[in-house]
Amino acid sequence: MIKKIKYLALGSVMILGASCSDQLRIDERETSFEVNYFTYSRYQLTTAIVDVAKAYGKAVEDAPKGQAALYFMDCYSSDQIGSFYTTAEQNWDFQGDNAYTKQLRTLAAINKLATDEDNMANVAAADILKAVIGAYLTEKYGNIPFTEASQGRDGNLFPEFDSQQAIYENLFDLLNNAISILSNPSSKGLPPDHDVLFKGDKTKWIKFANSLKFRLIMHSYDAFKKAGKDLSGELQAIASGNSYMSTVADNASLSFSGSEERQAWYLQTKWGTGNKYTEQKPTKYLIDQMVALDDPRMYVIFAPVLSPISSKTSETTEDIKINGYTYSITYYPSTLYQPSDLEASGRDLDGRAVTVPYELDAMWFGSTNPLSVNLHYAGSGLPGANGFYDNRRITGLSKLIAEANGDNLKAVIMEADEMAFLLAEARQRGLISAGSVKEYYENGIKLSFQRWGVQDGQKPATHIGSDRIIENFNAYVEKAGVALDGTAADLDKIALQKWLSMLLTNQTEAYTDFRRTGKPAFIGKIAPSFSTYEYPQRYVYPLDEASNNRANYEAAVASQGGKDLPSAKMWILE
Amino acid sequence: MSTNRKSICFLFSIWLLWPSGGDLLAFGSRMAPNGNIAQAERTVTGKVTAEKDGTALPGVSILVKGTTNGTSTDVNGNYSIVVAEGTSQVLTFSYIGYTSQELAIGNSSVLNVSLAESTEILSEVVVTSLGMKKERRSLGYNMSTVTADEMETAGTSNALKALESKVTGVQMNSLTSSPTSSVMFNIRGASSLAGIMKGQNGNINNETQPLIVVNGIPLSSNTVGTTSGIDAGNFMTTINPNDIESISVLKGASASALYGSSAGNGVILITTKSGAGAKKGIGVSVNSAVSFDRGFSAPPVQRTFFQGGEEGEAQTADKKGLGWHIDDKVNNNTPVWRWNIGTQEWEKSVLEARGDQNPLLAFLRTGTMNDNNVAVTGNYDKGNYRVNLGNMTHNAVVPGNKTVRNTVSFDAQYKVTNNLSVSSQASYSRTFVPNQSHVYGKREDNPLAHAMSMPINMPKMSEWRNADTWLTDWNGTYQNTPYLNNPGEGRLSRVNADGFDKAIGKNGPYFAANNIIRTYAKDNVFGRVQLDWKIGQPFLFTVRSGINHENFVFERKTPWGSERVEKGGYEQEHTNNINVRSDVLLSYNKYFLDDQLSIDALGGFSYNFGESNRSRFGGNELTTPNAFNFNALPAGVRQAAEFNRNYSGRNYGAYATATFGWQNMLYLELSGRNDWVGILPHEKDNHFYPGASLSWVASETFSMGSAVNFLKLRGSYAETGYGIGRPVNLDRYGISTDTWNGVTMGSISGDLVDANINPELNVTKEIGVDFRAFNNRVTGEFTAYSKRHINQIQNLPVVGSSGFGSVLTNMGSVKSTGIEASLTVTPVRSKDWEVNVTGNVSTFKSVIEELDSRFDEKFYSYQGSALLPLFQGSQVGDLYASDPISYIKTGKYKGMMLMGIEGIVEEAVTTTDHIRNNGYLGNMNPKAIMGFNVDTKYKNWRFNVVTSLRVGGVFISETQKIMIDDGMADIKKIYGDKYDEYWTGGRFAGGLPSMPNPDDMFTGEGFEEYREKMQNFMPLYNGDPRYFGYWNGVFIDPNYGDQSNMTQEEKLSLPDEAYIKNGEDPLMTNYLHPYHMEGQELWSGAQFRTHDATSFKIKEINITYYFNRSVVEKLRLQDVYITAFAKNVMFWAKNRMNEDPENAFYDGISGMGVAQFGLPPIRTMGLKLGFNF
Repeated sequence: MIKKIKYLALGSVMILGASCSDQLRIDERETSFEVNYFTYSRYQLTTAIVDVAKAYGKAVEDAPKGQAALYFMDCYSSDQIGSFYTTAEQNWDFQGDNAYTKQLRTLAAINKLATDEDNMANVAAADILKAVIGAYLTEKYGNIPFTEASQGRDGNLFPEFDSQQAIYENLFDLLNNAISILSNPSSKGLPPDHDVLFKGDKTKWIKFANSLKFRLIMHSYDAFKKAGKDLSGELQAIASGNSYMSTVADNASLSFSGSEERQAWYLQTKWGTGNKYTEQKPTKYLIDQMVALDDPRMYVIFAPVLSPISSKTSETTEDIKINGYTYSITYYPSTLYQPSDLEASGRDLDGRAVTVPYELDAMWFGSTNPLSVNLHYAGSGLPGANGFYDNRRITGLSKLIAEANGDNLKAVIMEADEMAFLLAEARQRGLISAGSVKEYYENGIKLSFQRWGVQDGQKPATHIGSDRIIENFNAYVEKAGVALDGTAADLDKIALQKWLSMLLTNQTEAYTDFRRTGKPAFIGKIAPSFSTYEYPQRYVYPLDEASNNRANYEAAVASQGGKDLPSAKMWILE
Repeated sequence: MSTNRKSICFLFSIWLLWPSGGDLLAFGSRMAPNGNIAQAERTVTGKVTAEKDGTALPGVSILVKGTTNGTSTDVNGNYSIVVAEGTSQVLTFSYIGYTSQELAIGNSSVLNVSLAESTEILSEVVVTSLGMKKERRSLGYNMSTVTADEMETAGTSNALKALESKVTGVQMNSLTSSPTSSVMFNIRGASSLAGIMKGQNGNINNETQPLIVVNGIPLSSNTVGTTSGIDAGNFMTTINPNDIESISVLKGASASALYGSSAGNGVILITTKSGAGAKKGIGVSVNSAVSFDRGFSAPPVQRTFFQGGEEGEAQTADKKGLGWHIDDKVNNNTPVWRWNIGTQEWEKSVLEARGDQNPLLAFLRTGTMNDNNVAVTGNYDKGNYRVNLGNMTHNAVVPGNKTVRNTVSFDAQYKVTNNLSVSSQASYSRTFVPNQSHVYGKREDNPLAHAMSMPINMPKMSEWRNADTWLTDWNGTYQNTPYLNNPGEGRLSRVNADGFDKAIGKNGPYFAANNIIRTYAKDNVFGRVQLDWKIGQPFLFTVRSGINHENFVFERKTPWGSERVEKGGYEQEHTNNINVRSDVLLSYNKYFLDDQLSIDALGGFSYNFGESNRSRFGGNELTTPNAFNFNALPAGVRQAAEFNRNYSGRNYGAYATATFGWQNMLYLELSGRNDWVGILPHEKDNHFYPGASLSWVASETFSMGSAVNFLKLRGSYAETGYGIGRPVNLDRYGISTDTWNGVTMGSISGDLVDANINPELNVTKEIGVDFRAFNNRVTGEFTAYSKRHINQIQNLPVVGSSGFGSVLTNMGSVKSTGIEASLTVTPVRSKDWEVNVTGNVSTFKSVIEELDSRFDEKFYSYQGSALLPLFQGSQVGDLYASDPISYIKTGKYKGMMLMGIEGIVEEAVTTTDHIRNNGYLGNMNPKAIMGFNVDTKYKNWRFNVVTSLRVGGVFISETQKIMIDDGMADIKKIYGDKYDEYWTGGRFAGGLPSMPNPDDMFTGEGFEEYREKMQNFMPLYNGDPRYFGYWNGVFIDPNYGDQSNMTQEEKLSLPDEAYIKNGEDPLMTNYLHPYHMEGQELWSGAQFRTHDATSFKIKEINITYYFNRSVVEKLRLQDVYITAFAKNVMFWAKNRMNEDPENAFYDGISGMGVAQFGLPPIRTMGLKLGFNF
């Protein structure tokens, strides 16, 4: 019997030993993987602000957008015009992110967590950011899934597309609700450290929400009016309420720390190949406008041609300083080149075949032609050329733009200068009665100068050799091409200045603004002049919707003209 | 780690404790000091014969009644048993098909017995799930058992290989033809949709591998794994076949229902040998086998064309055989530089034929296997033990490839009291593979590809073999190969600034085999302890626990000077995993109502624990030659090293089963198991798996006359599952590793889970009949089954606007149906002769029965330019061509191929509908597998033959593609009749009689592209028409309308005038030179290289001679036998590539059904000698 017990004990001990040996592991997993282990909305708020702003601002390196706004041509993406706008992406694209699975999911988390915590100001901030995304997507694609979106957890795997009108109404609701929460002095949330946009300043969030609402009403004003709804009262309320972005300090733009690639400005050259910095070349049309006005921003944003073909007889190099940055310019004698190397064949904006001769010793010389930008003027094989991602015969970006961070280099969602131009436009069109057009307009120009660090003062004879760019603001606004004269052409001038102010800061809005206003008119000519395609009015829907949400996709396409084409006009553009 | 050790320590400490107990061990007390058997025993001998004709009965089991002391008769019917002193003992003689007899021993020392044939039913006892012993007659499901007697495992290291064509309802695929390879084992059809969705990264059959259970301990699934492309073995390759007593296959789910969530794919039950049935006292048995392997079938290679580039130029650096005919003195007249590997000097001469007729077979050596085993057994009143030492050494047919396996196993049982017994088992197995080559694909390190694509102007294999693999004075740095570039230059001048030597065209086959090394070692420790306690009739209490620990270490060493890896590479991987399985069972066995009702019941609880860890690093570019270590790798490679310690998993199960028998003729078995899986509260889930079966022994109910000895009808139903804890449908919030300007950010994770997800189950129904007739001379069984693998759980893509990329949901079901039948006839049974002939057949069909309509039908891209279909009605294993040949649909050219300027594939229609209607290639699994076996005994001789026929199915030969691209395929031989259907001319058909001047061709407007092409191509090979041919197809007149507005499909139904028929007008014919006709074109056309997979094999022929007892006794031995065996004696396949479809894999385990080199069929012959004393 003793033996029996001995064996029984032995066997039991063994089984128990094996059974209990993983207890430690279980505890370890409990602490690292428990559901809702961390439920503070503030951490998600930082993520949301960073993810929304960083993605929105990424339009600065988006080649199709840079071209659609006629700011840049791209060296690398040759043959751009057709394929840029007709090729469907795999997924919804919020400047490289699928906003539905990324940003909107984070925003929904803030909504849920902050509501539980009663930090309603965080909910308001999340709703404002949600409006940014909703507006971006609907202005890019037209009808999109919005009210039913991101509800997979609740079982809705096939969201319906909302009409653009319904989406806009929804966006206004989100913003109104956010403003009312933030206006309540007892609303909690927005911890200064985690609110990396406005340091917890609720008034700045309110200004942001009002400005954004103003932007969206301006986008949709005509469409709503056609649908029987006049929103001018809303515009007037904002304009006279003075709670909108009016100084550079109000700008909704995220600063970069520049401490690592992930936290650095988009076009920096500190990490990576630097190709994004060199491959975008300003268009001739942009440079022509800036040269004509001797625009101070040109000296901040662009560098002179680094390898001009020259009338000089030998290869010479000189250093010049602009805005505190020194550039080494190498002049290549034109005798090194065939006559055919010195001209680029292309088309003018009316589609006529032309050859554009190189301007010898060019300093500010934009790209004429969207095709094969890297090969213009003596190919890549001849001295001075810099290969696939660069063409040093054409003006490039300044060294400021190559920095990893700085006061002028931000991920912009919306800035005060845009708001000023919106007010000018609204006032000019008689949609609001507060203020004067001239005041708004000139303020917009000045705000843009300020945000680029241009100083008001005595303008030097030349900016070559300068440590800072100084402009006489009042003199600039008095220039013939700038000053308003009370005619209908004032709207064109407002549009042109707005276009110049949104270079690098908000190229998404510049593209939308052109589609809405058709101004500046020359922008729209570039696409048809080089292809059989019309100017792209929208992006085609992602393949993901066409294959995985077919019925709703087809209904959305049917309600927008029957074909999923870039030329289809969305509701606000009809 | 420490927890693993703790568990192992427990086991070892038990074994260590054991002998120290002194009197606990049977042999400790029973052995006299001189080793003789104690005096208190005596030996009884005798002969057992059949009452009817007096023939000797071998294998009759003899038991001293009331003890476990037993033996069995030898082939001559003789037995010898040691019994205790005393006259009251009784011997029981029992034999299948005969009535058992009991005889009192009394004082006799010789007891001869004749047994009467039984018209009674069988009382064969089989081991079923959880190690339960049941009468076979009571089973309501099909269970196949193969015993050690029926398995000739010599010449192979994997016991599963000896089961083929002996077990029905099973499809086996050896990973390679090597005798040491792993075997995939699919019971009743592959049924996993996950395998289809994994596309080219998956293997549909490997997804549904059965559970391996050793002596009641569930160990692991039979899933086959590869590391770095080589077969790294699984549990079955580590277990010594000589330790196996029997293997049973639980096919129906009701048989495996008691294993619950881990037995959805069936169970392989292994019972190992013990000392129980052994000779009384100490016994020693030794067996030793030696065998020889030889590759005997290889794809046909062309031996008539020299090396040449894609444009017909002479070449020696690359290996394409697209050059001139060996008799062509016109083109081949300029000497070319060549490196002589023997003398290591540059030479210059015109090309001449030198190589072997079949370079692959010339490259492969004769493999040898030595397998030696010594077993010591002890069998005593109070217990028994068995210790076995085994060593297997295999030198593979690929030079330099080797496997060594050493095993130690120990098994002991001890009866503590009449009511309490303890048994334990321990085994250790070490498999060491000093080198195993990666034998798939056109890879630089595949020696087979290098051998098979050896051009005729290259040296014979004997020269390669004798040449140094390294250049003199550059050992470990520069390879000696005739594929050297840059003739005449100093060696070092060819190394570029980064140290990369681009001078090597190709690896030599011996270099690839001997110098690129893949090594692994696998250690397996298995232990089991079991305690059986008869608490009191009718209860039996059992506690059982088993542990298996596996440690695996892998290394790859690629030296400097290798093709494409000029600076070598190094790789290491370590994995270890541990599984602990414990059960507590209570069983109950009692008769009621005057023994009319029997109840055999069991209930229990099991606990499983498992954990696995893995770490690896590896990459290319070593700092210095032969520096095979971590530090010699570039920083990037070192940083990418992985160290994965996985969290443990465990589950609990409670189960119960009861068999109710009525009058020994009607049996109802009910079983159920509930499993709890998951560790965390939200993961916790439980599933119930029920099973039921019914069997009726009709021959017991009705008298069926003497013709029918036994007839049983059976049916069963069961549900088994796949263990998946219910994942939670919630977002999980956490702290991100990213910060923004130092501010902590949040993160969200958590996958989307369908709220209504159901457990994935296998629902099996089967019906069957078993019978024995004509004095048991005809026995057979028939089973029809349907297995529905339902609610398959998969992550399916959902639209991004739902907020998620995919959802975990039930996607559908696969229904497998088939029959299993076998019939054994004994036409001769006499005193000297016994002949048994068995035929069996199994059929398989697995159809996608249901698919969630939300996820539409899809094709998944697969290896070999094929697609796997996922739509309702398609079969698991179906293959479709991604670029089917386009045939004209209307008009006078109807049925002709449409070609473009580049050939046929260019014009393929690749819309889903078109592929579905026109691209079907076949199924990678056979429709049916048949076995036909003959087992003959004559006096002391035994002779048996095992054959296997696989019917139906297809495979795609990428081997063919590569050989064609290399210009090495004898294309006319491979294509057969199809050749003339596809082409006119071509170099293998003697080319064309003449060709026009290229300047006169395609002169019309619109044909500019054709004309330019012809002007470029026609002068190649000096315009010699013997090298040219053209497709028998039509092309579209470029002047016929704007083709850019036509869909590919519309191009197939144009009016007749739109087409121009190739060859009709020599000036309007699209000619092709060898590379364009054979190589480039066939690169992506799966339909050109899909072959019927029907094949027939003589798997085994064995001849055994048992020495006469008189001779044996003179040698003081118990018995001696010698067996001559041959495996894979003959192989016939319907395909002209001579490839074995059973081993068709793309790379290691991936891409089943797509052959890409791999070892050719191998024949094994050998001798085995065994003796017991």
